[in-house]
Parts: sequence; structure tokens; C-alpha cells
Amino acid sequence: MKSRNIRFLKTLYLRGPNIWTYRPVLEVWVDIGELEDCPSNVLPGFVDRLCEWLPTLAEHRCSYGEPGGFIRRLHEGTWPGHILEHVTLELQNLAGTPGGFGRARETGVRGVYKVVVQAWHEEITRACLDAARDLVMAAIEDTPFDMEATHARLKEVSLKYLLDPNTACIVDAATAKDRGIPAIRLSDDHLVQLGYGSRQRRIWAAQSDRTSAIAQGIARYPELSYRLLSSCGLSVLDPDDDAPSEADDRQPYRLLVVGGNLIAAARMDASNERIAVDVTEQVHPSTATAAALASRVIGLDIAGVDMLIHDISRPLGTQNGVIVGVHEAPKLVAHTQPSSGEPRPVGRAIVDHLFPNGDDGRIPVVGIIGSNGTTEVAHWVAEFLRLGGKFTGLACEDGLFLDRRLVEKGNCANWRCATHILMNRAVEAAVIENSADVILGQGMAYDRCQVGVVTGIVPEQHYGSYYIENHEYVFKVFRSQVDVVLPSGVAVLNAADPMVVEMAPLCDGEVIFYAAAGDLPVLSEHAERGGRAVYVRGDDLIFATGKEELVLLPLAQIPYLGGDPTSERLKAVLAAVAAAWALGIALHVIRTGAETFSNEPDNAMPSNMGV
Amino acid sequence: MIILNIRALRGPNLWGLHTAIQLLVNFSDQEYSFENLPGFEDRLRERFPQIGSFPAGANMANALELAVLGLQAQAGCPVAFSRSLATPDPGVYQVIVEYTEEAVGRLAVELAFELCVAARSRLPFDLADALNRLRELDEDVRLGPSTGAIVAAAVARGIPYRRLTDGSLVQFGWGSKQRRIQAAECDSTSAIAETIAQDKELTKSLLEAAGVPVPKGRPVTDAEDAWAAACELRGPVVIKPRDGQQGKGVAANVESREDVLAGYAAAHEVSSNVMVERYLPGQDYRLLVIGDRLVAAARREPPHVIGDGVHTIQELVEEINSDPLRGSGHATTLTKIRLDDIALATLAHQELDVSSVPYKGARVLLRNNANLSTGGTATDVTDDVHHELAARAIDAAKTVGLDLCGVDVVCESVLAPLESQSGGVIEVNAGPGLRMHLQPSFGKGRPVGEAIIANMFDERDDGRIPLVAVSGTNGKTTTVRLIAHLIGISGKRVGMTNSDGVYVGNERIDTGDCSGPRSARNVLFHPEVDAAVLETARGGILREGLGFDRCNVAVITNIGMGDHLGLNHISNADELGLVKRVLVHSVASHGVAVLNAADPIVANMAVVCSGSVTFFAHDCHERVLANHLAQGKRGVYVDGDAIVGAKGKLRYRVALSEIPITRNGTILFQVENAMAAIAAAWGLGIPWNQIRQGMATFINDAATAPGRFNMFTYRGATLIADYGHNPDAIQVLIQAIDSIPAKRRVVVVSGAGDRRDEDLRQQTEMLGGAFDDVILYEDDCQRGRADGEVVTLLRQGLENAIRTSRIEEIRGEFPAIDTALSWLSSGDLCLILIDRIEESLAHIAKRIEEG
Repeated sequence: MKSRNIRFLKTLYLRGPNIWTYRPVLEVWVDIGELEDCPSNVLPGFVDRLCEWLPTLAEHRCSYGEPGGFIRRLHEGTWPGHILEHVTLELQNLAGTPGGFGRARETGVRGVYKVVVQAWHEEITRACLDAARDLVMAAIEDTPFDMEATHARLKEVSLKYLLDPNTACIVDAATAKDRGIPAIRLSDDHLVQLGYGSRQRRIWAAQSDRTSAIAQGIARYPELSYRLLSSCGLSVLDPDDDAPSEADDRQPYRLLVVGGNLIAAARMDASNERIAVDVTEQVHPSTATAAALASRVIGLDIAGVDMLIHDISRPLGTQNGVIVGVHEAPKLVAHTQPSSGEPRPVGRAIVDHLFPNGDDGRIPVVGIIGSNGTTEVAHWVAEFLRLGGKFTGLACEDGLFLDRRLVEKGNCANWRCATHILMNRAVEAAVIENSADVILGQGMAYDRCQVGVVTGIVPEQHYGSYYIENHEYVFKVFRSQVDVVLPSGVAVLNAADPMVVEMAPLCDGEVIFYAAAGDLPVLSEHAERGGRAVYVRGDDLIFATGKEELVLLPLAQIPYLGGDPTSERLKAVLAAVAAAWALGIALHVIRTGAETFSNEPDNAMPSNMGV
Repeated sequence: MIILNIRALRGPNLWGLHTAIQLLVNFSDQEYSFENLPGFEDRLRERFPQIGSFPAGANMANALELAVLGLQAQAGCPVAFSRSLATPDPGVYQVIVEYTEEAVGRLAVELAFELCVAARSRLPFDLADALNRLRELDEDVRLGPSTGAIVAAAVARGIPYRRLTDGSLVQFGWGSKQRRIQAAECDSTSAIAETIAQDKELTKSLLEAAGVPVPKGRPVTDAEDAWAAACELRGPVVIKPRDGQQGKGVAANVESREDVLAGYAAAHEVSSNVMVERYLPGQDYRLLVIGDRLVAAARREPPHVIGDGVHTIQELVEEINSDPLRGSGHATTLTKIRLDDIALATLAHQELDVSSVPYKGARVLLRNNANLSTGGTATDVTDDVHHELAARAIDAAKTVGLDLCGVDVVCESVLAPLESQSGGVIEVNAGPGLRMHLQPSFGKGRPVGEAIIANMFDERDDGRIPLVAVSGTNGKTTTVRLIAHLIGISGKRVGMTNSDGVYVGNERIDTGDCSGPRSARNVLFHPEVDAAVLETARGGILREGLGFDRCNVAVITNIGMGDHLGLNHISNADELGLVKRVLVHSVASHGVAVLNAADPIVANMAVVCSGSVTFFAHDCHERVLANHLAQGKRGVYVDGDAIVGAKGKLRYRVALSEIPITRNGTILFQVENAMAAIAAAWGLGIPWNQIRQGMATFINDAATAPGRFNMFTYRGATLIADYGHNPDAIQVLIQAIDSIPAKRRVVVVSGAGDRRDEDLRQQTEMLGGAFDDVILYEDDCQRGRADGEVVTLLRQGLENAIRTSRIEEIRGEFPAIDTALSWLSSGDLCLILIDRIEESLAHIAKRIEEG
């Protein structure tokens, strides 16, 4: 007989875009056993106990779309998997990790569910999930549960792993829709990479990778700061002077300077760090200039300039106003959450400083998925990029390549290797082979990509694992690659595969179809709309824009096809040249690549990273 | 023998371009000449045999001079210049000796004084101790070897530098082009990257992700986990505490379960965080990466002895230390091996002590790290590094984000890629020591300082901003303002010093007389300054030397009869010329000296200029100018209604009608100022259309140039306020006023107490010929003279006045002005020679407002 229990069969941390959402989630396969017969409405007192421990569950809207919706579902009767989802999210919320995405889905097996919860940090969500199971079981079994201790413990875990608020406010501003800069957390500390590859910048709290170490040293040395600042004509409090006397009516102010501009100013409470009043609008222009000069003299790109001033709206010189010090890595909370006055978008200001002129910090990223042939396409696309002059990272089933150097042997079509490529400061373009397994079990390494290629899908090949048992599910898996294409990007789709063709409307960007046969109805419809396509007509490889056809080259000039234009290899060639075209690589480069490519790794250097 | 005064001349000065200590010493007649001191020279040589040879008729000033020089030289300072000479004051002599470190120079003075006293009074003098003190101080205060090498490289490239602290923080270049270093770390070195480098685990994980070979491994939780980790790694491992030092608790090259468990236990005693890592066989190498280049590489060995089966470890160490190449600090190529606690612990770890006798050929380590400062050795291998290995070191630097770093690598050989030999990067160091590459124990030294400078400054960039230095008796402030304006209208932010203050752009950042070296240095430090125009008064030159090592353009407006004569042993215009000539001496070889051809003292300064010379004079037939022009060199003069810049057949004209300050060319001293400024701008390569535009838009009023011929109208009378306060200035003012029609002329005049009597008298002698009414005033500030003394002298000057009919004495500047104003009626002219510039101008403005 099955016991009354919630068993976790498997927990997957999906670190990037997946079939559920763009964001990282924890997916847990839950077996509720005989609890399948115990929906919430048949357990006497269950809902009350749950709500007593977690009164804030009343806020959850669930499928009713309004607060109290979830409670209604509980009263009507819902199952532990679903309850687990909500309880986990609420515990995360209470621990200080907001984020509301959750799903609970049945699988084909009775009593087994997939429960999915948003997970900014794996450890925090795991802890919340475990606590949620205990809490739900205690509510089911009517046993005591120490909510207070649980809350405290989860807060502690959250505090240990969450980004500190200074770093977080910059990361949030970077990843916000209007900037769309990707972020990768590089350590359990607060080191975060913004942007990809060679376009990346790094931050650590309110420090950028251009914050000078020497300048920080100067800022920490009051006597030297004083000397340097006053030699530039700034009024500075002499560090050897006594602290301001009681009668002094000057007040402490903190001015935030980013990249030479005053971004925010707050009047601080001398005795309580938490009290800050925003005064940004009132700062006299000459005082803003003085603060900017002070940070430049010290040499800091991001600085907090402390001042003692009677009236912030008047020039310093008229009121014995002085600079007290210039601080590196200033705390931002006084400006993002002033105790009164308007919060200032300081995270955004720092992001704009690091990525001026709307730069999104992205390098060209090509993601490739399909049931077959993806590795071949990946090699081809990487070759086109290298020929185009870009230092290219390639993670595929044959290994991890940095330009032509083989850095790691074996199957590198996975989240880890793809992430390594995106982290690499030398990489100017990335080609990443994905698979159904990556999307289902790891998540994609990138949030969005320039080009998403879908080669072709054999649905049956994927049945059996991850509880996949129908076409719809397979479609959901593969469409993820199309979902992440940037609005400015391109989906390269196999026009000969009906399931792939169905994905075209899902793409935020352009679609380029490819097919060996130039006469497919899909292609003519696409041409009708002015779309681009790659196909074969007669003996030639054609690049078509609407009804305009351009002969890229005769198939006979592509040695890779071995003189056989019906070769299986042709599909890979078509997908790859289409991707190259999508990347904006010059046609003569694509042509040369097609004429010279061979899949034999030539001067790739063997590595033994397994030192 | 009394030292009256010690000065450090920190920039180009009267004696040359090098830094020097200048003493003012008073000797009594008996002690002065060697002739009066029988045996003195022998006693001196006895005490300091290395002292240089004396000239015939030598004296005590020579003794002091050569002692200060010789002591510094014997202590290892590269100094050569010294001089001594008499002053006009009886018994007072100047002694000037070069220094490299000011503190060392000052101590040398102190010791030289003791030496001379000792030799005179037959007292002992401990030369060894004196030299030791000097050497120690020198080692203490001078830049360390790494910073020193970078600074030397900068100096070789002509990049100016300035130490910002007593430590290793150094500024290169000036103003907006400045950069900074601190030891082998530069201002572009990222703080985040340094934090990453300090965290070995984080560094390792980032390097691994970037495809740089690192010793794999992980933290372990207990002894069994350590064994599990060792099994995962397959092969010999290192077990170490995560935050250990000096190799405590480290077990290297262990493979068996038994050894791994024992290693864990030892590491766990040091730290609760224990790491198990793949053991990398081979030697330690340090690769220096600058920018994206591998610049140097060295193999490093910790201090060790090789056993001979006979001697104890102690004896073997002593033998090694007897090598004269081994010193005790950073100064020598090698450093002595110390048998200190760390060495003893290292020996104990090998179950040895100092009395052990290692067998023949046994290599006994005395320390685990290879730092040169603790007796390690470094062998240069730069030329041997395989390009793939170099590429990995560069990858490592780039991954961590350091533009200047030392990459520590362990491998069997640098001749092959790391990947082919189980080598790996074990650490990335910010602010790496450079000594092992500059002066390796074995092999070639590498120009790493040059590489660092090349990474900071492009090949053709010397970090300098355009610098114009201006001096002269009169007109210098207006000339400075004019030049600043000519540069500034192109959008450059000009830093300017003059006798009113320091200006950066439109901001006055300091007030008062700012024509000295301190203000010059402040301007050159200011990070927003794109060009500097510096009024350079003689006081600062005499006191401290120039505040810069060289300039693009030096302008000497005039010396004339001189000003402030009698101060600082400068008793005549020729001597004053020598002081101002220092500016001309400091002109860079590609720079320009702008000299007044009509002033013989100024014109003669051309001989010390290593750049080119542009002469200016009203009259192009003026002999010096005419000769210069004939040789196809640059000159500026007045031709009809324009100022002309001429070179060979080229002529650039600026119409006088387009230069408002000259009032159509009628105010001659402003024409001179305009010529000097135009010549300076030409010297800087400013385009002529910009020069014309600048001359046309320059406004000289009380707001922009207070106290410089500021004109007002008061009840129909013309008022002119000026800060003129010497005979030359008075002369040009009289000349200027002659072109302005006036019914009656009134002058308000006072005199500064620190001027010579004859200068004060001369001022009023000149005024007496040009003014009808004279108001003499005196204020509380008499600069050392008794009440009424100045006015009496001024009155004496008026005794034979041709034109003056009325003289009035008034106490106080404001009452004097008010009296003059009350005398004026429409069509009159009044010259007010103001002293307290800002206050008086405000007072005049107030009176005008009141009507």
C-alpha cells in the first residue's frame, strides 16, 4: 500500500529559458501516492491550518485572477502538487525572494506531477521546496509545524545566496525590458557579468570593472584625499580638524556621481543610516559640478561624495559647505529607497554608464536545435563566423572550441559549456548547439539569441523521457528555441518540416526558411510576403528575398557535398548558409566558406583540460 | 659658521635644470678661508677621504659644498653638480648642491656641517655611520625597484612625473592627460579584477571556464571525502588548507589512501576548509602580462641548499650568503637567505634542523615561496616561452580582467604548451613585483617599466598638456589672460595662474598671488585642465625653482628697469634677468621662447633656449628682430594698422582695429601684450583664424582683468584703475594716457613699502610730468616701513615736477579715491593706482552707481 506522503522523484534546476518560462525554475517531479485521493476539500481543517501558518496565501490569485483565488481552489478541492507550488512560492516570498511563476502539471502517470517554481537561486528554492513539503504534510496530517523557525531559517538561506541590494538594483536595471542586457552571476559573492563575451562588463555591488583599484586606495586614505581635492580648489573638511560642533547647522548629504554626472542626492540623518531624504532636484548646479570633479580627482567612475552643507540649493562657497569624503562602492539604498522623497533610478544610471548609447552588451549568438544534424550545422556556422573575422566560441556535441582551439573534448552541447562561451571575454560570436535534453533538463544558456535554427524534428525519437508522450509536448520543447529569438533576430526554419513551419508565427523577429526543394507552397507563401528563403533551384543554391532570387553558388562548387546534390549533407549546408545570411555575413565570405569547408578539424589543438 | 637658510629647489632653477639644495651660510672671517685654518684640509680628508679636490684658494663654503656632494655620492646617490659663491652681504655665501632625494640632501647638509665642524675643532667624525644613515634614508624614501623602473621608463620618454605620496603612488603626465600608478599597478587596473585575483577559488573557476588549464580539484568535507576527491582526480594530489600561508599544512604529491588521509588531517589542523587538487609536477614560473602581451617570464626557485654530505645546513647557508651579490634588502640582485622561524619550520617539516648534514646532492628547501626578498632566485626565460603557453597566460589575465599582472604557472618546461605537459595556472597576481624581471638572478633583464609605460601612453604621447609660462616686469597678467583666451576659445579647458588666483576654465579655484610653483603644480594636477598658462614670478623661482620641468612656450614680456629690486640678493635688472631666464632655459627642444626684442636683457635670453625663438617688437627694423627675421625665423611686430607675424616670406596680419584692448593701436603697452600673446599662440600652433577671433573677443574690464587698465566713466570724466606699481608700469600708463584727451589730469598714487627708496621716488618723478593733481595715500600695510615714510619719499619725487600743481596727502585708499572723485568734472581724466585691487574696484563701482 502506498503511504500518505509527497515524494520528490527528481529535481531539475533549469537555469535558463525552458519549456515553462524564460526565467530559471526548479522543476520537481512529485509523486503524491495515495494523496491523489485526498484533494484539499476532503481533508478536515486542512485549509484553515494552512492559512493559519501562511495567512499571505490569501493574496494568491491562481486561476481566478484575483486575490483569494487560490483559497477558493483549496476549498473547491485541489491536489498536493498544486498546493506545494503555491506554498513554495509563498515561502520564497517571505524569505525575501519575490517572483511569482509557478506551475503544477499532471504527467501520464497517476499521482505523479511536475511542479515548477521560479528559482532565482537554486539553494534558496530547494530549501523553500523542502520546507513547503513539510508544511503541507503537517497540514495534511494535522501535526505541529514551527512556522517561525522555518521562516527564520529560510531568511538566513536567502540572505546567504541572494545578491546584495546594491548589485541587485543594477542587475534589475540591466535586465529590464527597456535595456535587455543579459546577466550571468559569476560567483556566490556579488560578482555579476552583464552582457556576453567580449561585450561584457562586470559589476560587484556599486563597482564597475573600470573602477580603479588605485582610486579606491586613495578614497580610503582621508589625508591624501584631502590634499588632492583641495589642490583642485575644492572645499574639503580637513581630516585633522575636530568633528563639526553642536552649533554647526550644516547637515550631512550624500551625492552619487556616476560617470561624471550627479545622479542622486540625499540628506542623511547623522545618527541613523536608514533615514535619507531625496534632494536630487534641489542640488545647486555648482555643487553637482564640485561632486563630479571630486570623484574625478580621486579617479572613481562611481562614487558617493559626502558633504556638509547648510542649504543644498545654494553654492558650497557661500555657506562654508565642505566635502567630507569620497567613497568607493557607495551604498545605493539611500537613493533607491529614501525614507522620504522620490526613489532615484541609480541602477539604470550605472547601467547607462557601463553600456552607453543603448548598447545591449550582446554578441551574435546562434542557437541550433533539431532532432538530427545540428552538430554539423553548428560547425558550419562557426566556420562562417570565423571567416567573417570574429573570434568564435562553439559548444557542440564534438566539444568546446574557442576559435579553432579544441578546449574540451566530448559532448559539450550543454548549459555549462555554452555558459563558458558566453562568459569568455575573447568571444565575439557564439554558436551553441542545443538539444531537447538541454531544454528539458538544464535550460538554455542564453536568455535571447540573434539567430535560432531549427533543423527538423522526429517527435517519436523524444518519447519516453521527461514524460513526453505526444506531438504537442515535443512542439513545446523545440519552439523554445524560436521563442528566444530577439525581435531584431532571425529564426532559420526548415520549410520541409511541417512542425517546424508551424513555429514561424511564434518568432519575435524575422523568419528565413530553407529547403532543398524550391517549390514548396510554404516558400511561395513566404515569398509572397517578401520573406527571405534559401533553397535549391536546378543546380544552384539560391538566396531569395521575396521573389528576387540570387544564385549564391552552384552546388557543384561545394566540395562538402561530395558531388552528390541529393546528399543528406545538403540540409546542413542550407541551414548553415541561411544562418550565415541571417547573421549578416557578407555573401562573398559565405561563398568562400561553402567552397572550402571541410569537417575535418584541421589545426584544432588537442587539449587535456583534464589536468 | 651658521646656516641661515636651507631651500630645496625642486624644479628648474637659477643653477640649472636639476633639483638642488641651496644653503645660505654665514662664516666669520677667521673661519672662512683655508689659509686661516692651518691643517683643516688634512683633517677634513682624514675624516672623509673621498671628498673631492678643492680649487686653489679654497674656503669653508667649498668644504661644505664638496662634503654635501661627496656624502650623497658615497651613499649611492647619482649627483654631480655643486657650486658655492659669495653674496653681496659680507660673510654670507650661497652653497648649492644637487640632490636626488630631498630628504637625503637635507641629511647630507646636516652631516656635512658636522663633518666641517669636526675637522675644524679636531673632533671625531663617524663616516661609516653617516654613510649608513644616508643609505638607509635613501632606500627608505626613494622609489622601490618596481615603481622606480616604471618612473625611469617614463622619464626616458619625456613623460613628467610627480610623487603624490611618500609611498609608491605616482602621477604621470599633466592635467586631463594624467595617469597614475602605484607600484606595479596602474589606474586602469580594475578593483573588481583585483578582488577576483585575491580569491584563488573564484579565479580558478573563471580560468577553467575560459579554457585555461588549472589544477582541478574541489573543497572536501572530511577525510573520506578527501580520498574520494583524490580518486576522482586520478593521480597524485595536493591537499591544502584553503586559506593557508607559507605552505603550512600542505601535503604535495601524495597518491596513496594512507597519505591522503594523513594529508587531510594535517591540513585540517590549519583550517576547517580543506582543498584537494591535482598535483602539478614541474617548476614555478612567473609570466608577466601587460595589456595583451607577454612581456617577461622567469623561473623561480625558493631559497635552498644542496647538501655535500659534510657541512651542516647552517654552514651551507653561510657559504651562500658570503656571495657579495647577496645584500640584505632590495638593492642587490640577490638577497641573503635568512634562517628565521619560517625557514626553521620549513626544515622541521622535512624533519631537519640547522645542524643536520644533508647527504651529497640533497636539495633542502628553506622556504616554500620563491620571493627574491627572502632569498629566492629568478632566472629569465622570456625568450623560451611557447606561444600557446603565452596565449594561456594572456587568456588568464584577460579572464580575471587585469591589464598588468603576474601569472603563476607550474609546468615541466615553458618550451611546450601547458596542455601537452599537465601544467597549469595556479594563481594570477595583481601588482606583481618586477624585480625578478628587471634584475633576474640569472639571465637577461627585461624592459618591463618601458612596457608598462607603453601600455599607458601611446607611442607619441608624452602625457603633457600645452604649457605656456609667462614672466616679465609688466604686462604679464594681461598676456597670461590673453593667451589663455586664445587657447580657450577652441573649447579647451585652460588652467591659468596669475597674481590674482588660479583659474580652471571660468572658475577661480584659488585666490591671492598664485604665480608660484605650488599653484603651477596644482594646475598641472587638476584632472580637467587641457592646457596651462602660468604666470611665473621670480619669488617662486628663487624659493623653489619652477613648478614644472619644461614648457612649450616661455614668454618674457620685458625686464626694463626691474621691479622688487633689492629682495633676495637680486640687486639689479641684469640679475633679475638671470632669474627670469630660467623659464627660457626650460623651453622644450620643440618649444618656443617668445622674447621682447626691444628689451636687451630679454633679447639676450635667447642664448639659453634649446627650442626656437620668436622675437617681438613694435618696430621690425629693431636690430635684434630684423636680424632674426633676416634669418627666416619668426618675429612679430607692428606694420601700419596691424600686428604681423612674419617668418621667411610668410606674413600673418591681425588688424589693430580688431584688437579692442589696444584701442586701435593707441595703447602701446596693450599692443605689446597683444604681440607677446600672438607670438605665444603661434608657438603653440594655434591657427591664425582662431588667434584673430580670440584677439577680437578678448575683453579687459574690471570683471575679467581686475586692476589691468580698467576704464570707467564718472560724471563725464574718464577713470582708469590700474595695479601698476613700478617705474616701468607708470611709464607705460603715462604713455597710454597721452592718447586720451583730457582737460585736467588727476592721479591717485601710493607705494609699496618693500620697494627701494629710489624706485618710490622715481614713480612720482614720472607722474609729476604728466598730471596736474596728485593725491598721495598711505594705508596701514606699510611692508616694513614707518608711518609716513612712503608718502615722504613719494613727495620727494614730486619736488621738481613740471606739470603738477596740487598735491594732497590722504590716509587710506578709499578716502584718497573719494577725494579724487570729488575733484573731477566732465572731460577730466583720473588715473587711480590701486593697491587692494578687488576692494578698490568695488568701491569705485559703488561710487559710479551712486553717480
